[in-house]
Amino acid sequence: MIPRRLLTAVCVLVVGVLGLGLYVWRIVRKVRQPAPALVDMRPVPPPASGTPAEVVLFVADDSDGTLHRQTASVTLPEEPAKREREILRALVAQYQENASTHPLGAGADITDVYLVNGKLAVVDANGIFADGHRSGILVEELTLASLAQTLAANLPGITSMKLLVDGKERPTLAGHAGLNEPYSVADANRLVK
Amino acid sequence: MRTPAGLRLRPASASGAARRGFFALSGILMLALLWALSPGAQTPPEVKQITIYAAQTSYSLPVITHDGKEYVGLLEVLEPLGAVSASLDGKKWKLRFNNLEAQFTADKTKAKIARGEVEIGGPFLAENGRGQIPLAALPRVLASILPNRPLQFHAAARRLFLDKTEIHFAAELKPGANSQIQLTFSAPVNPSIATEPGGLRMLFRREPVVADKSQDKQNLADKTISSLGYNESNGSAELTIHSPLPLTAFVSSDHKTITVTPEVLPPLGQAKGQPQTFGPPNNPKAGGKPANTAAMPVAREFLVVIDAAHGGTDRGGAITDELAEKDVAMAFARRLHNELRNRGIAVRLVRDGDATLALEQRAEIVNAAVPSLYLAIHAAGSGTGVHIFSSSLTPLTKPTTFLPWDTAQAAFVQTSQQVANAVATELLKHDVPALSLTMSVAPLNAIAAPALAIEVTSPAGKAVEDISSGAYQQSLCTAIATAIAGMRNQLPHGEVAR
Repeated sequence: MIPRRLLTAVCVLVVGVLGLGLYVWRIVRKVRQPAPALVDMRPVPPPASGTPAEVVLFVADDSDGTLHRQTASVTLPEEPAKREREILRALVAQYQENASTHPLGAGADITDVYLVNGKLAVVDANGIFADGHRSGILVEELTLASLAQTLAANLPGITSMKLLVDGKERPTLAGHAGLNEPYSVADANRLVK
Repeated sequence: MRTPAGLRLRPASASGAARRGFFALSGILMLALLWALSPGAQTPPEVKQITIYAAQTSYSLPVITHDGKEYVGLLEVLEPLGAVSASLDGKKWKLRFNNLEAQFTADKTKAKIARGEVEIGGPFLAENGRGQIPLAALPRVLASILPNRPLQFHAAARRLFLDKTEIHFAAELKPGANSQIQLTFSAPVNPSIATEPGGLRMLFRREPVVADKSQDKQNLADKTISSLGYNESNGSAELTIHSPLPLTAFVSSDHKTITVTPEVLPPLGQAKGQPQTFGPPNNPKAGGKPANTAAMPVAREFLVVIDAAHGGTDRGGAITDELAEKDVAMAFARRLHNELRNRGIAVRLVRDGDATLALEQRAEIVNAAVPSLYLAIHAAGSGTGVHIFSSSLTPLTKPTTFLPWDTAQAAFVQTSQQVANAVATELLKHDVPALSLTMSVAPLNAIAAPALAIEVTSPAGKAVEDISSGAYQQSLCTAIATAIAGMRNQLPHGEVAR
């Protein structure tokens, strides 16, 4: 006959093993769930207040590797840096439309634009802008060129643009286009059709 | 007896047999010396190799012999097929391929792969951290590691076909005064073609060409082309066409048809049944090109350096969830390498494996090689066709002795743009969408030679996965190599660049 003490110990062990098994199963299931898509969970910023104005956007077209000049009506604040940010946001919004010629991921945003000496524009994009960006020489270059050319078109005197991601320097946008050096507006100008 | 010069002479009575022996020995030594100096004796023994043909690439690996058994490195076999890593822990050699784990033990004949056990038919070798398995067991091991990929192994020829990549061919004899034989392949091919007295040989090193049993030896009962033979050995296949006349081969523009004719052809249009896609040697405008350029000697002074971008820990962009840019770029670089070599152009790869190289390192390696042309190969999941980039630096107007590292390309910008335009034009001729653009793509600006970045994307109207299609990549490589061969005289050669 099996001693009661031994039986109790075995039962406790069996329950323990089953409990641990259930716990491990739940953890594995949780890990295997697909990672959530890159989504910006921050609250939507309030719309800019100001007067509507017609601005120039240089929209990239992946099919022919060029920038196309377009005009759009955007509500612009008074402060120059904020005006430039709203213009770039209008450009990014265009890229997030369904029929975009140069798609950017949902949640990509321009958080700030700083002007240095009237020649250099420092553009700060959010993490999703870079992390969700498609990888490739052409598509990455077109994004930079489009931002730089749009800035230069609306704020004459800008000769180069430096892109930061979440306020920090980053070697490349998505593996190809270098971000260490400022992007020259002259380079962007070559792509204008 | 001593002579005035002090030389000791053999007495006149020395036996004639000894003298004859001396001369015979001298003769033998002389013949041995002549044989040793002859080119045939200097040919190194053929290195045993296996060739693996997969959907994304074809590659050859050395085969070693140990205790009478042939062995091949398993890590090297798997490297081009996916993400693979291995570590040696005592006698246990642990392998990880994508999400699958396997364990081999030194000197043991069984291996654990996933949850099963596989007999490898001989002891496992773990030398210098590299795991070697008996060649005969490779199909069994691969079938366990790549369970959903069809596999065929031609053991005697050491040729392994994955993913049903085999290329079949049909031969059609067109009899006449100057008979010709037309070989039609199920996918583009680019063999090395050599003409020799009595026939013509086509060697398929990278192409998975196979023959049916009936095609091994075909007697054609024709005065001009007497027979067609197929043979495969040591990781390659060979087609031999026998003829009493000198032969020439013409390759169609899509590289799917090769027509072999006697060297002297009637003018175009007079020979009945002559395919329209081929032109005689004296009519280059007719669209064909003599394939015997493939047998041209390699010109060392003209060097193309191909740089498959990314690699190692830098996977580059994700073409799909499984397909990394670094792997597509490597496969494409290898194809382009072969395509250029077949045109008699010396080629070097910056990386020929999964190595991590910084952009500065790449520029250093390339500049040290003093190439005539540098090609950085990239791949992207978006867009169609090929994007060709040359540097956007302002061209240097005055020649200079020293080139600044960051703008070394300025001295070569104009030539680079000419090559980019030539490549784009040739691709468009092959109905491949091509864009030639000027952009400062790293490390082009630091390259002191004409330099391009070539970004390969998927074929127009096809799924993004088709970027790794062998036929698609081959057609691009053919066009790019043709353009480069055409620009050869306009590019600096090694001595000039130095």
